[in-house]
This record gives sequence, C-alpha cells and structure tokens, in this order.
Amino acid sequence: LLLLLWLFVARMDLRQLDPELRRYLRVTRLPEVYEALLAGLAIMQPINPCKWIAEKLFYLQEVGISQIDWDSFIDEEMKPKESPFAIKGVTGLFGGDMGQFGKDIDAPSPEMISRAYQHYNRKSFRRHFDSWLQFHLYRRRRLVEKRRILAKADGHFFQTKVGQIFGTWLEWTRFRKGRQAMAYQILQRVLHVSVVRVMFKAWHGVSLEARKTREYFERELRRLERGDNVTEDEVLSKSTGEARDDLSLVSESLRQQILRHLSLADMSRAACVCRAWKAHTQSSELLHKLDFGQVRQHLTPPVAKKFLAQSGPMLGHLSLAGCRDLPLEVFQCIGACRNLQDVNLSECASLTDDAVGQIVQGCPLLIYVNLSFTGISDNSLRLVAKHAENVRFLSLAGCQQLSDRGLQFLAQGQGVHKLELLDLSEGVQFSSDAIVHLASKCHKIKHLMFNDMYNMQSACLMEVASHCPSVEHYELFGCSSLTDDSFRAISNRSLRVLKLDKNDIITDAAFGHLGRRCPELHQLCVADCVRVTDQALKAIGQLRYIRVLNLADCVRLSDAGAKSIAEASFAQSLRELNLTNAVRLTDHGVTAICKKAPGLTHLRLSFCENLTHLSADSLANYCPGLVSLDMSGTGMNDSAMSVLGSLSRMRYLYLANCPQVTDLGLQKLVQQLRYLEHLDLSHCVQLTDGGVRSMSFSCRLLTKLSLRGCRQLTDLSMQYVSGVCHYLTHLDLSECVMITDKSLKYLKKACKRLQNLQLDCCQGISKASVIRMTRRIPSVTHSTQDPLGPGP
Amino acid sequence: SQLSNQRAAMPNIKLQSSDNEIFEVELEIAKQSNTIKTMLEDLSVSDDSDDPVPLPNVNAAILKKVIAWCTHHKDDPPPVEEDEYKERRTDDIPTWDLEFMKVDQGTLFEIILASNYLDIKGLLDVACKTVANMIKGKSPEEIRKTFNIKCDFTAEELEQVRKENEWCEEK
Repeated sequence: LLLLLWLFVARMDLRQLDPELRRYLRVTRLPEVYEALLAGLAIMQPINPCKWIAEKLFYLQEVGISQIDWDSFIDEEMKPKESPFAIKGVTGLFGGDMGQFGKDIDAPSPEMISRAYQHYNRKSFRRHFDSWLQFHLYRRRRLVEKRRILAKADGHFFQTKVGQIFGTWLEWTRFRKGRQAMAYQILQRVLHVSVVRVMFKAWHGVSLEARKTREYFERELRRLERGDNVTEDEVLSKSTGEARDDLSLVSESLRQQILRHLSLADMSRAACVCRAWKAHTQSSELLHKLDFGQVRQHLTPPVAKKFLAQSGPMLGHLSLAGCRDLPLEVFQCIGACRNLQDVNLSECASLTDDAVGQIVQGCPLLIYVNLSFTGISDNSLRLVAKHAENVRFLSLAGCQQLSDRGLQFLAQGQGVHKLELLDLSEGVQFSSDAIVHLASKCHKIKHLMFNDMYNMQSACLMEVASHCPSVEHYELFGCSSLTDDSFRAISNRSLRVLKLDKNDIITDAAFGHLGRRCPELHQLCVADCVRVTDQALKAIGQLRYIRVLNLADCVRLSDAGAKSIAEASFAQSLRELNLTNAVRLTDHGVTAICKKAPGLTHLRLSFCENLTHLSADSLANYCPGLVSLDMSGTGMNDSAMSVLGSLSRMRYLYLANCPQVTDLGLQKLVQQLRYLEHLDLSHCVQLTDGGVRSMSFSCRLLTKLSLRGCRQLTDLSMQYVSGVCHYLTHLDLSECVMITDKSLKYLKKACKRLQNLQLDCCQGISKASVIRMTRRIPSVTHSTQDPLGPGP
Repeated sequence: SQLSNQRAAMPNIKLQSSDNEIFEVELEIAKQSNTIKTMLEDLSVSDDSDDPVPLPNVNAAILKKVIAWCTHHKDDPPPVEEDEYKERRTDDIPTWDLEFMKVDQGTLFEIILASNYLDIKGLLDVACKTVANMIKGKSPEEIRKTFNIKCDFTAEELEQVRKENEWCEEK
C-alpha cells in the first residue's frame, strides 16, 4: 500500500504539482521519509513489513522528521554506501523513472536483465547501426554527390580554363598575327627604304665620283686656261730663302757637269743672264766641246766661226752632224783648231774634199773622224790618209761618191795600221779586193761595220777576217750573201759582239763555229735568219757570257730551242732576249727560259701566237727584274694581265694586238705598275674609257702611250689621260674614230711635253685643230681615211 | 770578296747626318754611294760594330731624299748595251726621277752637292740634267726669274752681250 501510495506520489511530477503542495512536501519532508522507508525496506527486507514500518514510524515520531535520511532506517551493519535507488533527492525521487520502481518492484531476473540488456543492446546496436548506416549512406551519397559536383566543377573549371586559355591564345595569336603583319609591313617598308637608300647611295657615289672626276678635270683645265698650271719649273724656281744664285755657288766642276748638258743656244742665252753666268759659259772646259748638231737650225756661218775662233786650240770635240749648208770658211776655221781630236761631219751635205783637206791638215791629232753620209770623194780619203795619221776611228758609212781608189789611198796611209774602227756601211760600190787590201793593213782593227752591203761575199769577209784576227765587234746587218764559212772565219777568241740580220743562207752550222771559237761573245744578234733552227741554240750552249741575244724573226725556233737557252751556260747571265715572231714557241718553252734566266730585264716575245696566260705566270714567278716586256700579238688575256701586274719594276710594256684584254684586265695590270713609262695597247679592241681611266690614274709617269685602233675610246679617255699623265711625249691615237677636236684641246692644255702625236684615220678631228696642234708639237700626223677601208 | 760576303750577311747600316740624325738603311742601298762603299772597305774594323757612318756634309732632310732615291733605284738593271758614242740627252730622265726632282731649287742644289760628296753617279747625273732642263729653251729673262738672279750688266754691256748671242733666237 505504501508503495502504491508512494507510487502515486512518485507518479506525480513534483514540478507539475501545485506550488502549495510542493511547499508542503518540502517542509514535511515526506519524500525523504518515503525514501528512507523504501531504502530500509529494500535493504532490510523485514518479514513483517507493516510491523517494521510501524516501529519505524514510532521511531520517527520520537526523533523528529528533520533527522531523517535515506538510510536512517537501515541497520548499521547493513548500511550500503549508496541508496539502492538511482535517483536521490526530491527531484530524483519524483522525476525518476517509473520503470526502476517497477523493476525494483518486479525484481527482474538476471536473464531478463541480460535479455533486456541484450535486447536493449541489440536494439541500441541496431538503432546505432541504422543511424550509422543512415549516416554512412548519407555520407556516401554526400561524397558521391560531392565527387560528382567536384568532377562537374573540375570539368567546368577545365572548360572554363581551356576556354580562357584558348581565348587568351586566340587573342595572343591575333595579336601576334597583327604584330607579324605589322612587322612584315615595317620590314617591307624598311627593305624598300634601304633598297632605295642603297640605290641612292650607289647612285650618289657614282654621281659624286663623276662630279669629282669632272671637277678635277675641269679644275685642271681651268688652271691651264688661267695659265697658272704648276709645272715643275715653278716648283723648282721656288726659292728657299733670300735670293741667291745657286749655280754660281757650286764648285766649278759641278757647274760644268750641269752646263755640259746644254746646247750652244741655251749656253748663249745663259750668257746673257748676268756677269757671273757669262763667265760660267766661257770656261775652258765647256769650250773643249762644241756640238753644232743640236743647234743646226739656228746655226749661221758667222756664229759657227765665232765659236770656233773662241774655242780655238782648246777645242777637242766637234760635232757638225746634220749641218747641211755650211760654207767652206767654216771648215777652214775648224782647221785652225789644232788640238781637235774628234770631229763628226756626218750628213754635212756641203762638205767637200777641200774642206776635209783643210780640217785634216790643220788638226794632226784627230782620232775620231766621222764622214758618214757626206758627198766626199776619193780625194778626201787621200788627204785623210796623208795628214791624219792618228785616226783610229773612221766612219765612211753612206758615202756614195767613194770608190775603190779611195780605199786604196787609205790603205797607203802612214797611220792606217792604227785604225781600230772602220765603218763602210752601205758601201756597195767597193770591190772585195779593195776592202781586203785595206783590211790587210789594219791588224789592230777591233770594230768592223759592213751594214747593208748586200753584195758582200763570204770570200771577201773571210779574207778580211784572216787579216784582222782580233776584231771584237762585227756589224753585218743586211749582208744577205754571207754563208756559214764566213762565220767560221770571223769567229775568233776576242769576238764580243756580232750583229747581223736578213740572211737566209746561214744555217745552224754558223752557230756551231761561234759556239766553239768565241768564248767571249757577249752580244749576239741574228735576226730574221730563216734557216736558223733549235739546233743553233744548242750549238752555242757552252758560251758563258752572252748577255744580249736577239733571235727576232727566226721563225723556226720552238720549245726545243727555248730549252737549249735554258740549259745553256749563259742562261744565268742573260739579260736581254728577243724571240719575236717565234711562232712555234709555246708556254713550256717560255717557262723553261724563265726558270733558268732569272736575270732577264728585257724580253720580247711579240707575235709568238701560241703563248697564253701561262707564260705570264712564269714571267711573274721567275723573272721579277723585268723592266721591259713585249707580249704584243700573243694570247694574253685578263688573267695574264693580273699576274703581269706583279712585275713592279716594269717600265716599258707592249701589249699591242691582244684583243682578249678588257678594261678589267687593264685595271688589274696597272694597279701596281706605277712606274710604267711606255705602254702600248694598240688594237686591244675591247678597251673602253673605263680602262683608260684606271690606267691613267695609276700610271701617272707614262711618257709613251699607244691606243691605236682602240675604237671604243671617246674624248672622255683623253680627258682622263690629259688630266693625269702630264709627262706624255708620244701619243698614238690613230684609228680611234670617236676622238674629236675636244681631245686635242685637253691634250694641248695639259700635256705640255707632247712631241709626237699620231692621228691617222681619225675622222672626228678637223684639219684646223691639227694645224693648231702643230704649232706646239713638233711631230703631228693626221689623216681622215676610213680605217676599215682600203689602205693608204 | 770574302769581306763583301760577310757584309752581305749584315743587312743594315747606320748613317749619321750632319745634324746628328741617324738613318738605318740596307747596305745594298747605301753602297750605291761610292763614298760610303770606300769608307766601309777602308774602315773594315767598323764592320761588326754598330757605329753609324758619319756624313758631315749632308743634313737629315737631304739624306732622306738621297736614301729615297737610292731605295727606288737599288734594283735598277745595268743600262742597255748601246753604242758608246751616244748623244748626250737630257730628256731621257726616268719619269720617276722627274717627279722626285720636283723640289725647290735650294734642295735641288743640295742634292747635287750631297750626291757629289757621296759619289752617287746616277743621282748626280739626274740632278744635273734637271738643272740643265731648267735652263733649256728659256730666254735670259726667264732664266733670271727661274734662278732668282739680278741682271748686273750695264746697259751697254747688255746690248753687247745680247748682240753676241742673238743668233740663237727664233727667227
């Protein structure tokens, strides 16, 4: 019952109770009483609970309700530490679980508890598992969803990114493309501009150069027109300081060395300068030598007489060469010069036997007598033989009036044995006997000249040679009748010089004699002898001293002959070689010679048609000393020109008829040949003004220039030449059909030294201007024929 | 000749001008001067020494010119063999020499003196010809102008000398 009551009470939720009742319950402490009773009952479990409860209530009446505690009714020994009820206090008592009270009341068995526990456990496990599963599934769904979303996001992100990148790239590409297009445009513009600029620059350069050239020439011309062209005279006349007469300050001997270069006319003008100079010109040394030949145009008999009288016994050397119309009294005056040793009366047309007589009678000391090309007769020789006993050098060349008798007179003379030189050139009228007779008296003779005696027979020369064993020098030009035997005769140990040409009889055997018998031979000229072959050169191979070898027009010579020259003992000493017209000669021969004759200075290979630029290579490689070279009419081309350009000592170069040569070759040639003085470019038909331009700027020192037949040349060429080459003395412009009067104007103004000007077949040049030129230039030839038409 | 071989091995020689300037030139060039050549042969002791050859009569400027001439002409070949009786000409001066001689008159005469002292025949010859060419073909007045000379003839003398020499004037 109590329990039910308690249950009833306990069922009521204290908090739901009426506040009055709650206060009551708290003041009376009824819940604690019930709790203590309940705890006591639960623990003590009396057999008679009602009696136990009555006892306890009596106890409580005695003690008072305030002393009550939950264990106050439990015996001391049975007191548990905790109340058997989970819920303590008022709240626990009234708010506590009904079940516990039920269980407590029912006292569930352990199985039940365990079942309940298991049930509960399972239930809670299931509930937990369910909720966990739910949670797990939820999480999984969430995860999947999240992943899906993430994947979607990723995809979206990627797409966005790609889109972005693509957009950027597109933009960038567009930008690049734009840039490229722009750059291309710029580049194209730049290219265009620079091409234009380059073109403009080149054009500018060309026009500037052209203007400079034009101005240069114009300036030169203006200067010439103003007449203040600085000639070397003006440079020379520039004085260093105060006025002083240098010529009077140098020593007497130096002054004479200077003045002896002057002609008598110059000397006379110099005498008018001042007192000192008058004295200089009258020094005895200068009176010793008189050359009227140089002043023959001005020479009058009184003047000649005056000079002769002035020199008188001091006169040693006298030349009247070319003074054609001197009267007898002048020659008489010569006779008054007792000490005269040397008289040259060559080409004195007025010379008579009387005059010769006067001279030789008055001048016993005469040693040199030149009577060549005069009209003297045998009587003169009689007088010479009689009076001039000391004559050693006698020239009778070209004296047509002489005959055998004259030679006989000579042979009878007292001093004939002293003769050292005898020149009978052109004396075709002399018989062999007379010549031999004269020769038989002249044992000491050393020089014999029989030029142009085409009738000179071998037998005659052999006899002459047998009488004159020590001749050193033979000149036999044009003696076309001589044979090999005569060469055997003239070959002697002292022979040094032998010259002949135009002989088609002599053969290689003649050279055999020379080679065996003339060890001293220095100079050999055998030109235009058609039977001479390579064997001839082999035959003279052992000669050691040949320095000058002229085999021009010996057309049979070939490479074998050239090899013989190369192997000869004289190759090392060879200085001058002429192989003109050796048409069979090839580059091999030239190379062989060049290799062995490095001392060559003068070489002529003109019209050796087979020669090519390989010859030029050899020349340039082996003969650096070449001063003069003639390659006219050979196959020289531009590459040959460029190698010949390395022969820097070259001064005389002849390249006529080399049609392969162009402006380029000429330019390469002249680059290093700055000292060139003679240049022949005749008929190098490819040359134009450009070539002449480079030539004239390099070769400022030219004195002789031939441009004959260079038909492409215009006045411009002459403008170049006259602008630079102020030393020109000889110029050949024949067949340059485009040259006009303008060229002559340039030449007249700039080339003051010009002495010889050839203008054949120059149709562009007028007669009038040629006549103007002749006033200043001694020799001008001109014609207006068509160069391609029939010859003159 | 052994001596000369030894010298050939020694390429250079020193020349001292009057104003103490020293020029080093190739022996072959210097030997174009006979004076120097003789000096070297006589003073064979100075062969291996480095002492300059004193040239007290030539100043530096002129010596420089002379050396330039000798350098240009050192390889000249001997002249072409020709007749000994060749006419004396003044128009055969090589053009290079003509250019070389484009100097003022004082220098030209100093070159003459130097080449005479040094005994360089070629140079002396060319220089003399150059002076001769300055006189050639000129009237007395032109010569006076060229050589800076005052005419010191009296009027009568001048008239007389002119008369004496009038033959050569152009007719």
